Amino acid sequence: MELRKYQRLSFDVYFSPDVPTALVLDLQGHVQAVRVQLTQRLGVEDRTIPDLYVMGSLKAFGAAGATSGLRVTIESGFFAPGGNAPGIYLLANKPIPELKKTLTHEYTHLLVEEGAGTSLLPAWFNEGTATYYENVIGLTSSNPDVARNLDLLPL
Amino acid sequence: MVLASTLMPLPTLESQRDWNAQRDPLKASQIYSVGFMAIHYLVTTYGEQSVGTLIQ
Repeated sequence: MELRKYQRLSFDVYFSPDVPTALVLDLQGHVQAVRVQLTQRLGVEDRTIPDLYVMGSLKAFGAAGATSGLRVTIESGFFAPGGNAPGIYLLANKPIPELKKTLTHEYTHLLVEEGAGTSLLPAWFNEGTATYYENVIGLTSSNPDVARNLDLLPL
Repeated sequence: MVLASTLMPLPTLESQRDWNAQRDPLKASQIYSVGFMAIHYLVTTYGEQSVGTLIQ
């Protein structure tokens, strides 16, 4: 699979040719923003900043999932903690706010898994934390009122 | 669509393998909502630092 690479000092972004560079830059900036917010909110810092893989098609995303041992069906993003290419993988087929929510969700998984170490946390905690911060942080830049009115979110 | 009396208790949502195996979008949405509500309860009751403490 051919991927372009946008190199940063702290982490790299790999993206398929059909992904606009402007989107890559936007998502790269969002990673930094999420790191700062989660560190402040939780008092937990990451040890590593994951590389980011952004795929423009389901086919490319599925192929990336397969290399990480994941059969992608309903996912729009996943975090691969190990393997040949550890990092956060995104399928860039949604509006930018949705992509940022997914990126926040997967980055939170990284933080939870690094913090927990070898301890097994229940899935509801791991996924619930990622979903909570996906909504709190992912939306703060586009619709702050939603983040302030979490009590009103329906099931 | 409204599903009545179908919320899963947290002890039934502990396995990450089972969680990842959920392929039904509606059921997946439902269990993510349960996880969200559990963390929302923790945050509103004990503060965000409680989540950080549990992570560490």
